[in-house]
Amino acid sequence: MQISDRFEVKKHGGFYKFFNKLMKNAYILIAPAMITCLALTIFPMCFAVYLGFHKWDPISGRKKLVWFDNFRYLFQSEDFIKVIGNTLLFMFFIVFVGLLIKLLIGIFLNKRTPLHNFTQTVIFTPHIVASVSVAIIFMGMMAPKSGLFNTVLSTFGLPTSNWYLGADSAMASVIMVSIWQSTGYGVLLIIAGLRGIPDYIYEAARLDRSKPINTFFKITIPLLSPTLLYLLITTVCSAFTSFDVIKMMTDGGPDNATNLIAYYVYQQGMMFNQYGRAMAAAVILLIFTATLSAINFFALDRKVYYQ
Amino acid sequence: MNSAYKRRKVLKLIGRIIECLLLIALIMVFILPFYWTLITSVKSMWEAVENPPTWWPREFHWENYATVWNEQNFLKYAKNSIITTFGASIIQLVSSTMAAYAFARLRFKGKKTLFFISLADIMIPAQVIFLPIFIIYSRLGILNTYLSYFLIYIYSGSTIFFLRNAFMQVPEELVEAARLDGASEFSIIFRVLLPSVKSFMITQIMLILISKWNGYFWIQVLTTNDHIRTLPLLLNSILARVEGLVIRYDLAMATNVLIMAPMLLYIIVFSIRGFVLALQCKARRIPLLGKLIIIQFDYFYTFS
Repeated sequence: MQISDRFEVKKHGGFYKFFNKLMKNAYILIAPAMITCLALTIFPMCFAVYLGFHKWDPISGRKKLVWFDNFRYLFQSEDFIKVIGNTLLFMFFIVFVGLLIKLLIGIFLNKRTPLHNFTQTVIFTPHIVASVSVAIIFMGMMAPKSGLFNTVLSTFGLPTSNWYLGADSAMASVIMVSIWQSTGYGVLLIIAGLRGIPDYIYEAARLDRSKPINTFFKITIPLLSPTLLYLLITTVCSAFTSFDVIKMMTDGGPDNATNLIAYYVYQQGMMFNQYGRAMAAAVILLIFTATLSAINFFALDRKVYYQ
Repeated sequence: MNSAYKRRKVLKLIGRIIECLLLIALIMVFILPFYWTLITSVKSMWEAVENPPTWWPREFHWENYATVWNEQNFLKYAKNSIITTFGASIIQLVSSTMAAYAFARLRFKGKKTLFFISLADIMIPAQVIFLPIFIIYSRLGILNTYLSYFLIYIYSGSTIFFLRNAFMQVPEELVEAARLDGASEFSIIFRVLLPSVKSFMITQIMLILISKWNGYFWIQVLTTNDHIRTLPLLLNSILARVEGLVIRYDLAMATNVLIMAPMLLYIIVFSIRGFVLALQCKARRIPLLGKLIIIQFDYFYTFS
């Protein structure tokens, strides 16, 4: 006993003792994260809500409580209504069309040959590349005169388009780029979900002479529903917060055709110095995303479908 | 009998050919943009905006890379990129690991409430809080400093959440056994806990590094001059530089290749490795990072 005690003392000198004590004090361990959480996430959120009810001119520094004037302004201005419409349109396309594409590719790629694996890797690549880089790549390819897209279209005799520069095609271009970038991640999760479905269920279906289409809609889709719902909610959130591609490609332009709510907040706050209006829009954004995350967190706890 | 068998075989062959063609089309859709970037980056200024575009550069202008490297403030931005990537990643990883450890393995008062608060940033997107943070920073006078950028990454709710789940799945018996053998807290953490959550740690490190390297929003929002601006913002200023009504796509693409290089190298190395392993019949199904993300995703469900 004595020997081992002495051994302990020798082995665990100053630093180890300090470390042991530190590792037992939970409050010290969580302090850095919690303090910054309070100071740079919770407090700014409250500050944002506070600013939403104020009119603040940052140059003269005058602040005035105006209650719901900012919100009233937003809902009366045509721009903001258009922004909300744009956001919903963008969301609808990247969620439903995007999810359908991901599901189809995922089912198609669910095989284990080298070519399939290589395709998976290639599809996954855009996910880990900066969205700014993706935006630049597509700006080059969608350039009206020297771009690849118009060249290909005109060789097939199809009508060309102004892509991200035209008022009517800008939104479609932005949606296309977003779907192109996010496909890989979704496909990966869907393949993982498909491989997680046990074989014996399919075998039972085969023994019962189930038609392939019934197998797909009655077995594959329900058992894949946790993955699909997760993808659905994260994609909706990403639609509400997507900023990089918009900032890089169109700056919300032409004529607000691609101005989404996240970019609108930035535009009002940083470019037009309308802090009150920007934060009122941010509060609306916050209501959307907080609701969705809450659904994601609490409803998804109970998995969507039990075997 | 024989002909029916033959016909089925032919149909199967046609099916396989169609499948292969579809796969190749899919690969083209996702590789062509990268190919386009690479060839545009070595075209001359005029060839890059030529109509119709060329599929292969007439002559290779490798000096585009030299131009970017020398003229464009590139080294300053690259230095900023490296400092912010590694600095912010290390800070985020250390503080999140500490908090995750406490939430997973220690008992203290108010743990549930604090843990719930620590998930705040999953519900509050950056686009809501950037303006208040900008105002706070300008009051404190720390805009355009590395400190201001590092501060926002000390806390990351999702990292705390995933690492906590990782720590929680280490069986208590393992730690108890180590403790009975007289291991100090130090060796319990570094020899028992951390090695058993290695795959989670690697995933988190990779994801954090990649997201910091690609980071655009916070740098764009929190800077008013180019003191700490990183490479993605260099693209903005290159695109804004118009020479004789010509956008310098060649330079933009060269910069873009340099920004994407780490990720592309990673993907190429791992797909070659996967291919070699596949040839040796050791099938490697998904690229490493992808596989790790899936592991993480699974635990998201089992522990939330």
